Amino acid sequence: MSSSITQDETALIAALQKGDDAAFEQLLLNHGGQVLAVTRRILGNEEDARDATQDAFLQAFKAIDRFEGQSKLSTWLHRIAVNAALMKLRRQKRHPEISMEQLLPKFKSDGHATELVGAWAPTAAEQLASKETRALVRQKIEQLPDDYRTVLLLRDIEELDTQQTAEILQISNGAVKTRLHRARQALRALLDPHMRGDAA
Amino acid sequence: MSIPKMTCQQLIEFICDYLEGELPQDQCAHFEMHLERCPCCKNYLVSYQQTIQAGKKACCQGERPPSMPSELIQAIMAARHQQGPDASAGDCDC
Repeated sequence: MSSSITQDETALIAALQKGDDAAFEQLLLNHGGQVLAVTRRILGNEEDARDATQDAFLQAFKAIDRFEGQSKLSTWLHRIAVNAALMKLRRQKRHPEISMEQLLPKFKSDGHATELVGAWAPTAAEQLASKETRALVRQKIEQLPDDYRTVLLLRDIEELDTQQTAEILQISNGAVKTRLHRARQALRALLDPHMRGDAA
Repeated sequence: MSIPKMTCQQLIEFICDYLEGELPQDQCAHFEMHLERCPCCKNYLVSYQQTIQAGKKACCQGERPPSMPSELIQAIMAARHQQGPDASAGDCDC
């Protein structure tokens, strides 16, 4: 097994692979919070997050025989949690999606922007930390089309790299980069009216 | 031969690569020269970076993981017992 696995973890994995009930419960105690955090970040509501957490662990219990220790248990579980959350995300009732086209900046033939870009308020950073603004940002993320929202969630929120994201979504690295940039641009445009220094 | 200046459109397309340190050195120089003389692009870059941070904060990224609620642990263990020890491996491809 990989040297990144600790001795305790090796013993736990061996017990899990033998089907030991106490080991399964220990797995939940050790890593349940981490998995729940992942599903909460991706799904944004507690009920779906708990359902996806349950799905993730049931998948993990089934697949533990195939775990070879190439990565840490937490890394392996993180991947399972992301996949479970994405499956749930696809089945979520969606807010109406907005058109990306209207949110991307427009340019003249000489490459200059068609509209001036104003600065966000100097207090934008503090504002973004408030509970109300966080809820607003979450709502705007929900409005992004699925293909762009999932890339944003995996790259910026779960901090997976381009290659990992491409593998999970079964798209090219180039598609990941393009969609991430477009998603960030669109989210920026959705937040702009609320964050501008000259907003009424 | 002089290299054409970077346009606003080009700069905005290069933002991701610039922030990840993947923009080639000569393009990086043009990128930063453009920022020095274009307040709109500078505003755009700053707000783009703040947007990334906003997403992380909104989704609680970086916060301490919660503890696992005991009722969820019980529900999962109960579902595992219903699943049974001989259930074939699912679709997990991890």
